[in-house]
Amino acid sequence: MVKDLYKRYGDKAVLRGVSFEVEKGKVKVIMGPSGTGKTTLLKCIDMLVKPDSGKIWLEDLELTDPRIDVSEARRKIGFVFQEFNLFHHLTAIKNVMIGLTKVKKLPRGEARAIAERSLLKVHIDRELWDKYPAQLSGGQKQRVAIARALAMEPMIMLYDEPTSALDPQLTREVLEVIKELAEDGMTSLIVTHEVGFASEVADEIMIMIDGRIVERGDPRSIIYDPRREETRKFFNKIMKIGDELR
Amino acid sequence: MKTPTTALAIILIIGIAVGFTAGWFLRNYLGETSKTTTLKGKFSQPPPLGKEVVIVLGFDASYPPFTYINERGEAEGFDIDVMKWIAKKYGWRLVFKPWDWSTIVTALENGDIDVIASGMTITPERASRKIWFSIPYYSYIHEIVVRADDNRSLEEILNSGQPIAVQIGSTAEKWADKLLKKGYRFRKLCLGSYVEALEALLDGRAVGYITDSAFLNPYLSKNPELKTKIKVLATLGASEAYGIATRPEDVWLREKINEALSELMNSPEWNELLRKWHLE
Amino acid sequence: MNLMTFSKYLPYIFEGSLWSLGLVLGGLGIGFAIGVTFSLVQVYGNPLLRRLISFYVWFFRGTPLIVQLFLFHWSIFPALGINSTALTTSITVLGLRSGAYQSQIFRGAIGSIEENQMLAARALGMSNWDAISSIILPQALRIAIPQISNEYSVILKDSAICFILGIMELMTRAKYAAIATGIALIPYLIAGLIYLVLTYIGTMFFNLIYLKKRIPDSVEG
Ligand SMILES: Nc1ncnc2c1ncn2[C@@H]1O[C@H](COP(=O)(O)OP(=O)(O)OP(=O)(O)O)[C@@H](O)[C@H]1O
Ligand SMILES: [Mg+2]
Repeated sequence: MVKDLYKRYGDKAVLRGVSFEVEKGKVKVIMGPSGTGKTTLLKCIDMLVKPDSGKIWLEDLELTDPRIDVSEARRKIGFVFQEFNLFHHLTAIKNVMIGLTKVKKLPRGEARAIAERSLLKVHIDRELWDKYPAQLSGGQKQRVAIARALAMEPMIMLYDEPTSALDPQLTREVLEVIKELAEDGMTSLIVTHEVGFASEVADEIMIMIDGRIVERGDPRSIIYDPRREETRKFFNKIMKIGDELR
Repeated sequence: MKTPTTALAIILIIGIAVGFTAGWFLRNYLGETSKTTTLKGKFSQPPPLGKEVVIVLGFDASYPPFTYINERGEAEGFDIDVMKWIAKKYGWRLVFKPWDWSTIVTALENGDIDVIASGMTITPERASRKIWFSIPYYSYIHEIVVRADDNRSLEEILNSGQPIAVQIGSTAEKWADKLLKKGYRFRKLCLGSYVEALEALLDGRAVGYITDSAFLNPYLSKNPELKTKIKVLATLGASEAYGIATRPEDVWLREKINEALSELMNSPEWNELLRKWHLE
Repeated sequence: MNLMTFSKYLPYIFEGSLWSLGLVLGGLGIGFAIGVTFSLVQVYGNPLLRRLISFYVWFFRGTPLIVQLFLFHWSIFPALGINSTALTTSITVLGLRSGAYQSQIFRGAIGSIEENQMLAARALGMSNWDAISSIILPQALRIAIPQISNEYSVILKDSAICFILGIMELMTRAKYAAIATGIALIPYLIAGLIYLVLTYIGTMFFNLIYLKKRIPDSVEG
């Protein structure tokens, strides 16, 4: 749950009072034009960037409380980056294992078993496990990255435009995985420009413009019947780009 | 690796271990001598009875026939023989330490070595400040040498603007400086040893070469083929002498060396030594 | 003097390569420990420590080795009451000096790793130290291998300067053999050859590590 979040970089106010909640098992999607602070918001939630004011709770734990151990808290949040950010020097399976061995201090064998399960869940087959990130396709990389986050058994997954660095056909395999996870009950907060995907998975879509959530609601009404002019403009724009691509 | 900290710790330990193992290996297997401790007046008094006297002899191994290294890596030469004779007389143990000539005085001052016996000329400025000499044991004169086919006069050579080779830090270099100060116009070519300076003359990098008879004469008798290639053009100044250098405070050591030197120089062995090294 | 006499000097010269190698491995090892530590402090440490290390690097890169050898052997160590042999001084100074260079090599390597690697590590819940030691350093070390190999060949040649403290390494022995035999060219050529061989062996060694440890960067690589 996020309440009244503010963040500025220098004299640029990026987040200007953002509040919302992601209930357990629900999937929320954030959409909005570029540069409106979506990435910043996700980073704040994972405490990778310190918000200026406002509060964030993970169930009962207040993450913004200065006394808590943030690394301890972060392991309960899965973060999937736009650029995958796999560890270059580790094979796919080691990428998944490292959080388990270094952070959770699990023994190697146990970590490996969990890693294998996570990789299978995102449809990464055995023959790819010992490949290095540079030897994987974009879609495979992003799925390994999802497995890496998933293996930590997070309470919530944050996805920051997980497919915007991918070709359309690779996009599909990644979205498929995210959808399956969501259907399994994974609490998720997803930033994406994929309207079709959003309307399929989202319990609620929030439109973020200039550091504020300007409109929210169930996918259908938001996409096809937005109340606000700027939301309508935003959708027109991304649909048009989408059309051109097709 | 169990924890991440150990990973780094191991890296650091390996690094340091490699460093010190290498040092230890060199010290133990290749015989590095330890530096003199309690420097001040180490040999100013007679040592307690029964205590072994260890003298670290510093020498420039590029000054045959006085001091050089033989093919087994041992110190050899006239000065080495003299020091061995002295050490034998008193039952001292000698440690031979080749040291670069350019820093040998500092090494003596700081106790890396205890004496310098290496064809070292007794000069007022050396003797007054940092090191004190034994009685002189060998005298020689400085010479200026040119190639045999060079017909120029001394004046012409000294005003040619061309290089004249000397060993850096030697008395020959002092002579070059003296001549330059007098207004002669040549270039001073400083090289690492008398031999290298001579080679510069032979291969044409220099037109002249300042040396002393103590080096040149024995070198020529060992390499007779050179005798036809070079000629002594002139001598410079009066004759000078070699002495064994010690630290000023080491009074006892110097007395012992002087005593032994006079004894040696008055014995028939002295002439044998001179003959052995072609120095008579 | 003829070549026969000179050939007897060969073992003496060869033994010098052990000394040179000892100096190099010692210097490289100590330099590695210093380099890794200092590079981390320079990238992640507090400003005062960073300033101190910049000064250290500036000093060791900015002064000739020969000056450093004198300074440590005859001023700094005596002033600290350390009774160091010429050899210990030489290895230590080579190590301190190489540490300055290696810290810059590793600093560059760390700098070349994307910010996002650190971000991803933290997002997994790693502490800064975990992230540095298991994500950043392993990558930096791999990236730095070619330059460390280069540093090896640089120190190898630097080590010849230690003759100034009476260290009987390769070059000094070649010189003494040349002087004792009156043969100038051949001893130096042999020394040069040994340096080439040592450089070759060292480079091969680092190449091997590089091939084994480098991060694959292509499909089917
Ligand atoms: N570290 C930073 N320092 C300064 N400004 C930043 C920083 N990170 C982001 N910004 C600025 O904050 C604003 C919001 O950035 P953010 O990345 O959160 O936007 P976004 O909504 O994720 O955009 P996109 O759709 O392009 O990913 C941008 O104007 C960006 O330039
Ligand atoms: Mg973004």
